Amino acid sequence: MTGPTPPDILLPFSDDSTLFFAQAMRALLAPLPCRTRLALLTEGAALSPRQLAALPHGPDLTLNGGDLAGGSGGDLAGGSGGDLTGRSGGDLASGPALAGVDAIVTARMFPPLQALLGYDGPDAPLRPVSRPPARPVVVSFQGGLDFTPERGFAHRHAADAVFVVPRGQVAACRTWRRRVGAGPQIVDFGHPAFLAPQILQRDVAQALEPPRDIYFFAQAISPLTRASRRHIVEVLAALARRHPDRTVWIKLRHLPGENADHLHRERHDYPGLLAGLADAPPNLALTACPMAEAMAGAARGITCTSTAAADLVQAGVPTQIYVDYVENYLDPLMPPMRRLFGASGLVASLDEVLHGVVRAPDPDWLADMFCPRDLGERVLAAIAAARGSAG
Amino acid sequence: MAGVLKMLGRTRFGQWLWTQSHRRSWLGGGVGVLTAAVRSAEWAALRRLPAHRRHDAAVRARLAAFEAETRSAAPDFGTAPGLARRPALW
Repeated sequence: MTGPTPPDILLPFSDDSTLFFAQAMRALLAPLPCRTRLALLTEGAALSPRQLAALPHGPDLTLNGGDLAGGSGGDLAGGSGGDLTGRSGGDLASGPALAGVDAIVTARMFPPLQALLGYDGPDAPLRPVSRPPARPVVVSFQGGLDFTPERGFAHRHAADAVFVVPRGQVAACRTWRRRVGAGPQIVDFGHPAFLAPQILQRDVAQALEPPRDIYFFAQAISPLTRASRRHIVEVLAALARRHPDRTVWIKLRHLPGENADHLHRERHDYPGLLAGLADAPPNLALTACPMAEAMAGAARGITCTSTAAADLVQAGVPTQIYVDYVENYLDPLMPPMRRLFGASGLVASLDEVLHGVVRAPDPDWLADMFCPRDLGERVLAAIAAARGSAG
Repeated sequence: MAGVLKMLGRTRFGQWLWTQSHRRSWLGGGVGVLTAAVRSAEWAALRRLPAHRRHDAAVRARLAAFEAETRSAAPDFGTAPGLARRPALW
């Protein structure tokens, strides 16, 4: 499995979050010497036909959990303890789905992947793991902005390489690894959703001419309560009334009822809340258009959550992060969101949201949060290093 | 009560109960109702805290003032350009 041959890389996904990651990673790796395949994991999949339409030709592979964990095979699929160092990985590589696969690059440690690595669950003691030569290299990305990073490190301790954001988490992960005596050999900085922006921010005057629209980028579970989400709709209605020459769009991530099995299940959907608004202005509307289309049409983007904020900053869209909403104290994601973006200069008060006061992101914060654009090359380097050091 | 439930959730019995609640719908329903009731009570207590009441009242008052400013300026929705640039989903 070692040598200079371009690696064959599997990019597994099972829901919209992991599909976004897989697509972004494929785009990063496309110009580089490797082969990538998008693999839909059917076990626990939570994707609607509309969301799958983001892949016009469908996934390259469809796998069930057994495929990834080694087909019919062997004791590793059970993953129930023991020292992995000496275990055979032959079952894994002999599974038809993994034949020829050199690396798995993933945003999430899916259960079959955990089984592949012999991960025993969050309560099991962490053990040093070395890769059997026949097992594909596993490169895992800490899922976007992880508000409980040590739990994320523990979930990924058996991966061969881990990429984290922000930059300070690299040192944190290495310190954690020394403390627990286990963890990935390779730790690096980056995430495809956190590539350094190519422009700092669109000029606000240019962004306003020709008139562009105002977008709110919604998320399923933050804000959390009905009152807080209704408040967001009321703020957007107020903006729409103030700017009758623009449309204020609520950019939905899910349609109502979509992704009922998703990790982040939406309890109070915006279409329902907007329908309940007595005097909704006609220029307040809902859209489920692709993110890129929304960002292209956005004079500014307002959001309460990290993934959309990162996308907006990366695209140079004037961004406002609004966390002062009604009942924000009931939302467990609000304090870490405020902490993470506190130095960005993008956290906006209600007054700033209403009056369109937009600031450019702080350069120091950007350098800490957004990684150099050579991430694809570094992923390939991590794969090569892990293949070269197989146990 | 919420603290007690969280501690219970960390015990081996709590984790067994959580697993069982996913396997048996009647138990899952019971655990769901209990969790929702505890959370509802916890939220009600948090909403009553003076600092939180002041925060919500201030935010709502600021929004109402902004709306009043807008309405006094009376923008003309009927002739606003750009309203039909793209069909809305709903």
